[in-house]
Amino acid sequence: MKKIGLGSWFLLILLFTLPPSVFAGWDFSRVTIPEEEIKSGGPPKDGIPALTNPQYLSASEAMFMQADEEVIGIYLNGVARAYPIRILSWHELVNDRFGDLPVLVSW
Amino acid sequence: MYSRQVDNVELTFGVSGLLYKSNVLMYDRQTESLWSQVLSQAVSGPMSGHTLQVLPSTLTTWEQWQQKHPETMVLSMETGYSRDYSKDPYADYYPRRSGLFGVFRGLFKGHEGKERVVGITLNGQPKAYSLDSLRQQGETSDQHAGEKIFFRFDNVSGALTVSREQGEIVPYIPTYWFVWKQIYPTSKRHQENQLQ
Repeated sequence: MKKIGLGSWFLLILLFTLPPSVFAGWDFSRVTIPEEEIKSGGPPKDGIPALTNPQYLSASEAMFMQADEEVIGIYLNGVARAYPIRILSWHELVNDRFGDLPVLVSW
Repeated sequence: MYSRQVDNVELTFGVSGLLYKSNVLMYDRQTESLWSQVLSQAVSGPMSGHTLQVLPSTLTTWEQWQQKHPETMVLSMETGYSRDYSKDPYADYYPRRSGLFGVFRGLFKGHEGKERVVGITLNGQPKAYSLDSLRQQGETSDQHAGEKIFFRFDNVSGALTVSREQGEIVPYIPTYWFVWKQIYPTSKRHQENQLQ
């Protein structure tokens, strides 16, 4: 009887111990870009948590802000808001609202 | 920034963990379709082919933004998540996509690929401009896709406006050159001495 090589055992063990593929569970129907160019970024789905219902401070309350730090500034429907990059980097997406308009701030 | 209103449906977005050309793919929680930020478009699933309306936003400093909009509000650190907001998690890795994930490390020599650019597509033709160079020049223009386009940097707010000859606004995407180049491999990139 043919022996199963060490490499094959290794592969088998790997197969059963690896977490499910990051690509599992996604609906790739109607895909418009080459599928082989979709890569894993490292963190799993929602591993980087997008924000919803963000809270705000006035400029005078925001003591943590430094003059030269980068922000994304948005002025829309008479409302001005600043999104510090150092907060956005942890979340990448903010599901927000300017008046009636639902918006997505992305970084 | 985008509108979350698509076909009269309000979508909520999350981070998929997947990348396309080193740029984040997001997904909407209503249909689980995947969306590309750089393409502003759904690339798979039920929403495939739908586009997100791009809304104007400005990358600037807190000081400049506050001068222009003293009444501005600031995103609070009370996000419901415990993260160390005293520092940018990617500070050591800029540009964050390439450094953190290592996928494109070494593709570009030195810092050339890491340069911040604004990318536009006009009449179907892409082109990228160095953000630093536009900022330095204040007002400038360029000939692209058979049209003259104008760049204006507001020194107070730090806002960049790109417009066509008749004043029509040209939407642009701020990103890194190496990201833009992968989405639009044929894209031209302006050389500084070509700007008038």
